[in-house]
Amino acid sequence: MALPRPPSWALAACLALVALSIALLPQVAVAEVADPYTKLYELYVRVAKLASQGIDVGDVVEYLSRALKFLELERYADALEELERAEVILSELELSAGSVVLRMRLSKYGTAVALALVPVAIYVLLPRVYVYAWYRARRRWLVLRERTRR
Amino acid sequence: MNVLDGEVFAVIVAIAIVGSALGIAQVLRPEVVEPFTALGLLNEDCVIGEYPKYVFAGREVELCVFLGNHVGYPVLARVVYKLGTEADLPTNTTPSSLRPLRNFTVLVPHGGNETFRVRLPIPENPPEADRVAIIVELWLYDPERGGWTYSGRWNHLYVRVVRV
Repeated sequence: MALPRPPSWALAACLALVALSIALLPQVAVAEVADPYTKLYELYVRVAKLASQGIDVGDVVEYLSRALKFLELERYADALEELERAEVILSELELSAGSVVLRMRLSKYGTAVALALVPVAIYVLLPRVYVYAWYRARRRWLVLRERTRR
Repeated sequence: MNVLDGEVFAVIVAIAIVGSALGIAQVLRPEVVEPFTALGLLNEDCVIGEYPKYVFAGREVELCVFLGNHVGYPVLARVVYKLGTEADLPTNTTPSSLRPLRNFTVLVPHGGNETFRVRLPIPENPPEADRVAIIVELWLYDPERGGWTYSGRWNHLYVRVVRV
């Protein structure tokens, strides 16, 4: 039994869809992998911003350096792989950046306040400690009344 | 009875104040006071001196480039190679107008440096001059504006071209 022949407009629509998907697919793939330099610049800007805040970005810099070497060798797939690894670490660093910066600032200004309090502590405590030590060192001493000759 | 002499106590407190002030200044000072980058052109053994005097047209010359970074964050640096004459040299503010013959892009961490080998092609028809200048310029990627900017740092090496 012969199958009914589909209408010509349906065939044309199917062909158009197939052509459209074929035309679009490579472009999407190319858009993703074609310009690793754009990705590299984007990641670098984020790295520079984090590093300016004092966050250790050593690991990300290593991955980006490796990606650059792959780019020089025109090994784009390897470069993209390194860039993706860098992005994962970078995203984690960005998530924790706020608390890290806060901790660093607290430590910095806390140290400054502690240093400022050192002279005050010396002014207040040194005479007391010294007197305490002075008397403690002489606690076995006996006080004798000296007779004066006339 | 005054156990601790007043003058001795004053000297001790003064020393403590000065020490404390110095310590605070060290803690609060910015990590990078004067940011700078460094660019150096080295010979093929990656040391200063004994640079090649002659190069061959149509071949490559091998040299090393040194980059230093003390900017406060990693720098994405591009070493741009150009070949020209004395008239084509860059300045501290403007790069050479010549066409780049090769680029080398590296990422240098803050406080770090990179020394790497470069193979610089000498064109078949180099500039007509008694001696030509191998020019390397340092360009940096500006993370705020998002583009390459000339850093004002450059090196050059005069060589004579042997046509073969």
